[in-house]
Amino acid sequence: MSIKGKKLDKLLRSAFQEQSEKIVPPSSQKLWTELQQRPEFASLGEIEAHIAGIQEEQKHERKGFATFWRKHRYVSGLVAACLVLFVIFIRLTPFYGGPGGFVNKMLTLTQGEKSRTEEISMQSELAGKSSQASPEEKKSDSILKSYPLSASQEEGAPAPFASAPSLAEEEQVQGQDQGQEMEFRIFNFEESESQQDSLDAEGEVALQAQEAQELTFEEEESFALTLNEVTHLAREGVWRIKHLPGKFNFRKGTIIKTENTLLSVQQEYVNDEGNTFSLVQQFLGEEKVAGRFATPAGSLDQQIQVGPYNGYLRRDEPGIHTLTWLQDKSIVTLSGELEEKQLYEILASMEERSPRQDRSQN
Amino acid sequence: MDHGILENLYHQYFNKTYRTAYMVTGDHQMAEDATQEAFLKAFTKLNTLRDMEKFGSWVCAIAANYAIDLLRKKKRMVFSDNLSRHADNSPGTSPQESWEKTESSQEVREALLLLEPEEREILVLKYFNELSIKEIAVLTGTPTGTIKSRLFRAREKVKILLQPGKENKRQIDESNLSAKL
Repeated sequence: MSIKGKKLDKLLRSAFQEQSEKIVPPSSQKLWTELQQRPEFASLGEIEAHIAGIQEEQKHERKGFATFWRKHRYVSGLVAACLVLFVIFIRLTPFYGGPGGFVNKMLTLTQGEKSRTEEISMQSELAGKSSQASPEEKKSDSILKSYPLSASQEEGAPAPFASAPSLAEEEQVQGQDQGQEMEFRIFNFEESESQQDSLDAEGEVALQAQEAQELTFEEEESFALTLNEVTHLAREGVWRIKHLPGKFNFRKGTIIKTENTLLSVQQEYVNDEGNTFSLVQQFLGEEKVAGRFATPAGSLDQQIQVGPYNGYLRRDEPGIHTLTWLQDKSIVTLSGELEEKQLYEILASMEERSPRQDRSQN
Repeated sequence: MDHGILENLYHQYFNKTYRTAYMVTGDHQMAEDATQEAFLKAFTKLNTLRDMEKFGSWVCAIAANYAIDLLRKKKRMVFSDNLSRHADNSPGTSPQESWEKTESSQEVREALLLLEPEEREILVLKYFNELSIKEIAVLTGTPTGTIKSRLFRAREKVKILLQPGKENKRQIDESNLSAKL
């Protein structure tokens, strides 16, 4: 049985304490007198003066603090208590500290103002650049204008790729300016998000929304080129329409993506009579979605097998059809003012471009 | 010349310093000499001390060092007479009874007498003066590693000496202890 550390410490302390009590020191007065008679003691006067100064300083410091504390302890205590209460109040009151609280709103608005200011300065920088730019740079600006946000897109905007540059030229120009333009677009997106929804947005959705970029195209060729470039970001194959029925023409294409992921591809077509149809492919997250869009029992929707996938056809009004099918990692919707026959023709002409193929090409 | 400040310091810390020196030496005369020398040295070097509140610990450490020096000079151990008192456990006592007895402070004090003066000095400064290892190192001018190893050795020796049911260990002298450790 050995003694453990703390037990030994305790024993040693008590032993020394007891021993100390038993020791009877001699008279300190007598020994002090003896010490003063030592020759070394004669030179201690100077040191004593020095020590007196130090002691006085320390005394003053202590006294000063003690006086201050004695005078102001109640006020100090009150101030400290107020601070604590204020912090608790801020943490607990939704008006100030909650997710939708006043302070947070103010902060968000301030950030919105800030990003708007940065955007304006960027715009003016870009404008200044384009006014002084060489013809090649001007061409790149026209390309930049072909990627506006759908929210800020103006009707009758100049058609992108009017001169239809080659792929190599486009890549070169994009390489020069895309980084700056993308940043500009992100600012726009963040601003609208922060003013509308960001107060309630949380977690992954908010993060994804903040990083997402929406690219809108009115020129089929530029849309196709860009889609080629981003197909490798898709979780599975991207559907395209190879042959358009009747006199349908490309109207608009929209690509929504983050830096690493393709989120959605939308293609809209219109004919001379103004009838439109669209193909929308929404890529899903990691979560399983089987059954999410299953046709409810008793629904008038017609179940249709689209290749290996389950889908359904909805006839909302005469001449308007919506075909939706659920793939492993995306939902595809083909809808518009189409005859049922035309719908099947389009379906037959669609081709799927797999991201793997695209990656190998890239 | 009036030495009011020094006199106050002397009287304030005399008892503690004297007791420290006595616990190291075990001899009144040596303790007295060590105390006087310690105060004289402390007063002479007083202008080097930054914090006057440390004066007590400082002068005690100096006294402990002087005590060791005095012991070395006289080259004798003053506690050797006390060794025989350790062998007073009757053979019939059970380990538990023996342990209870061993726990008494008297036994610990007697065990301390078997230590080397340097080891005892460390224990005195640590457990009587309540100084940390770092403070002991600074005040005695000894490296921290040396202080640690001395402290470890001293504690181990005390542990062995306090082990119950091993009366023979109580009779071992310092050289035997050193050899065992």
